[in-house]
Amino acid sequence: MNPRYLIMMCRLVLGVIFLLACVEKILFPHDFAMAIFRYRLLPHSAINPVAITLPWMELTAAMAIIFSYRFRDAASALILGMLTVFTLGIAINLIRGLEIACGCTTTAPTEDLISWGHVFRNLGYMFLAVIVLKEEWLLTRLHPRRRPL
Amino acid sequence: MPDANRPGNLATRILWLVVLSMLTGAIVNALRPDGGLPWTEDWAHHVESRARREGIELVNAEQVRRILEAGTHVIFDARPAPEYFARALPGAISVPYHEIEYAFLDARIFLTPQQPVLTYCSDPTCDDALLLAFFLRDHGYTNVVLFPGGMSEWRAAGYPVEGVKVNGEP
Repeated sequence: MNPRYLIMMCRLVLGVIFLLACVEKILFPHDFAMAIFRYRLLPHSAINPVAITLPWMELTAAMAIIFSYRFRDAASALILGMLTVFTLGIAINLIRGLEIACGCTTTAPTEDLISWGHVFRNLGYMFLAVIVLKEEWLLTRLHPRRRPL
Repeated sequence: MPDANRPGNLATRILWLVVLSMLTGAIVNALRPDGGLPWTEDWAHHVESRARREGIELVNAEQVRRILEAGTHVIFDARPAPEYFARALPGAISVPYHEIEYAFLDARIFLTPQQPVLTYCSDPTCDDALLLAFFLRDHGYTNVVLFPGGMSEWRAAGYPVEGVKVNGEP
C-alpha cells in the first residue's frame, strides 16, 4: 500500500474523532464548561472562554485535517497540541485521585470517568498526529510543488 | 524551502486556525437563541447559586451540626467511596454520585418520599452533592437540603468526623 494512503487514513481517523468530540460540546456549552470546571485546573475566569472556543478549535482542526491541503499540517500540529493538553489534564487528575467525567465526547457528569485508558488512548492519537505532521513536513521540504493527495 | 501551495509558515497557519476557531465560537455563542454562555461566571459560588436557582435549601456547618444532633435527616455523602471511608460526617451513608445507578439501589432503602435528606461532598466547588440532590428530587424525594461547604467547611469548623483518617492525617 502506498504510504501516502496510510497517512491519509491517519488524517481521517483523527478528523473523525475530533468531529465526534466537538458535537456535544458545541450543542451544550454550559455542560462543557461544567466538565472543564470539574478538572480544577483552569482559573475560573478562563473556564467560559475555553468552553466557548475550544469545541470550535476541535471542529476547525478536524475539517482542516480532512479536507484542506493548505492547512493540513497546521491542523495536525493543533490536534497534537490539544491532545497534549487534554492528556496532561487527565493524568494530573488521576494522580490527584479525582473521579470526574472525561468530557471527551460527552458532557454528562457520570459517563466516561477518567482513567489511564484515556491517557494511553490519547497517546495513540498523538502518535497518529505526529505521523501526519512529520509526513507533511517532509513532503513540504522534498516536494514543495507536489500535487496534494 | 516553503511550500508554494501553502500560505505563510507553519506557525502562521496554526494561528490562522486558532483565530478562525475563536471568532467562529464567539459569533455562534453571541447568536444562540438562549443568549449563549456568558464570557465570565462566578464559578467559586457556582454550586450555591445554582442550588438557589433550582430551589434547593442550603445549610451551613452549624445547621448541619444541629441536624445531626436532632437525627432528623438521612445524610448522604456524594463523594467517591475512598474519600468517604477516609473521613466522613458522623452517621453519613456513602452514595457516590459517579456510581449513582448502583449506589441508589442501596441508598433508597433508607428513604421514604417524605424523609428529609442532607447531601454533601468535599468542598464548595464540588457539585456531586448538588447533582445528587437533583437526582433525589427528580425521583420524588422532595425534602432534600444541600450542605455546599461539605467536608472542608465541616472540618474547618472543628466538628467531629468518622473514618479511617480521623487522627490528624491529611
